[in-house]
Amino acid sequence: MRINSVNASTQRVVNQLSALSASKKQPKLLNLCKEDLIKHKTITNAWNVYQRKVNEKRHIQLNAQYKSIHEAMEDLKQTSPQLYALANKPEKKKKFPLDMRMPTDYPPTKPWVYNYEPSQKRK
Amino acid sequence: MISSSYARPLRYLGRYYSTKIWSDFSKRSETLKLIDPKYEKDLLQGINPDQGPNSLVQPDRRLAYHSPVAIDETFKLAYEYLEGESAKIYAKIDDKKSVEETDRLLVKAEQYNPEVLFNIENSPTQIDREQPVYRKYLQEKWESHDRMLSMQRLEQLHVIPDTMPTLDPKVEVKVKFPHNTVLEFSEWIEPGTILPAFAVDKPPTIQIQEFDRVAENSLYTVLLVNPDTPDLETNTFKTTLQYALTNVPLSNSNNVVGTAKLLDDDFAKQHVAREYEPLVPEKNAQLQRACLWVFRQSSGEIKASIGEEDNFDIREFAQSNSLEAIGAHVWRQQFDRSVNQVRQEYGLPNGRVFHRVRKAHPVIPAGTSNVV
Repeated sequence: MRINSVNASTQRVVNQLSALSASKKQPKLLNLCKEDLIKHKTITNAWNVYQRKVNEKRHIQLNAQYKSIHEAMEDLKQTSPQLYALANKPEKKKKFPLDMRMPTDYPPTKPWVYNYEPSQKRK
Repeated sequence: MISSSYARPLRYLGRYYSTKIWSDFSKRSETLKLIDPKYEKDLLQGINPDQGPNSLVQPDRRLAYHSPVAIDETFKLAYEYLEGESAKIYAKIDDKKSVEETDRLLVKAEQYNPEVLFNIENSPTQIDREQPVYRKYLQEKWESHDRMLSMQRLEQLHVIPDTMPTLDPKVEVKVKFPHNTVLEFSEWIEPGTILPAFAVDKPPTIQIQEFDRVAENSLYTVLLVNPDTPDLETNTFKTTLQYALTNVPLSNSNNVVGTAKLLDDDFAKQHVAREYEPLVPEKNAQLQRACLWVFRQSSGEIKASIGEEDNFDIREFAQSNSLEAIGAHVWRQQFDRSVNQVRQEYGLPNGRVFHRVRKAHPVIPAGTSNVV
């Protein structure tokens, strides 16, 4: 018996894929005429240009936010060194919960673990 | 481009880019327009499903062709977006910008223009090489394959360092012998090909493609040397000069030294420093390399004539005339049955016949201790 057994439908897909050769698993080449290929390329180019602009904008905003945080902390350092030390105090026991899921764009396949128990060590 | 009497079916999107930058040729060059007008309707307005795309030749394939769903509508959106971006870049270009900066912006403004993309795919030989965007695409194509191949051949055949010490290729050098009637020999030659003597018995056509903007009538030197001429006195090989062109004015678009120029008496008198003499390898001599080097003349015109000395020192020549090697090409030749005829054509003496030797290297004199 397999150690990491998956459910039946997934196993079937895995079996089917293992029977196919690697070349069959490649995405299909676009069988387009010259004009449509250039149109396709243009659409892709436009999307890339748009995404680049969006990313640049986001990057600029994040930079500004970071700069603002930095300036606020510098300000705090000047005005009240005690509060600055308190804000920067390392919290040894308080860590990011290791059991927490990574933030993703989509919900997980298993949204909630009902019978969750933290590991013995960290109890 | 489309007459007003054109009955426009509903499916077509019409000419949606009028009064936009990519259809305005008052400031932009006409050469950025689609070269082959028969594709224009299919590319910019959509393919008529009753006729099929123009690029497919067979009628049954044409009729069976289906465009992807909603490609024309999406293309319209993409076109308008990219055209808008291009207009913003054009607005940045003014007289205060340097030439390099202007070229960079021109590339940026035109690199996504579908007409430009179609031209470079469909008619790469007819494009205007004065346009920086076309040169950029040509350079990308060259760097992706031909530059690597030519460097591989130059290094594997030891053109580097047997002739010049090294090469940082800046230009694409292409060579062909258009007097041939056989397609195999009349096309552009792949570096390192072994050619028969009859295929090279007229001077080659040389194309030197610069990718950066160069000044009009920049001067170039082209040298063809054979580093494998047997030298029996010293039991080694010497380098002979087979062909030399000096002070050749070339530009981005006027970049071919071909038959038309060579037949012009003025050109021949001014620029042919050594008449072309093809390699005529003798029987049982090893494969000989015809190494063609292209130099930029960094300090103006070359005044000194090339001497008739037997052993041509290409490195010394390049250094004394401050020539910068920017490209090279190589083909090989060996004795074949057309060699004697070529010798007669050029009035050369009959070739010698060497003994067959096991190794193509010079015989090491007796008494040398390191011979096993």
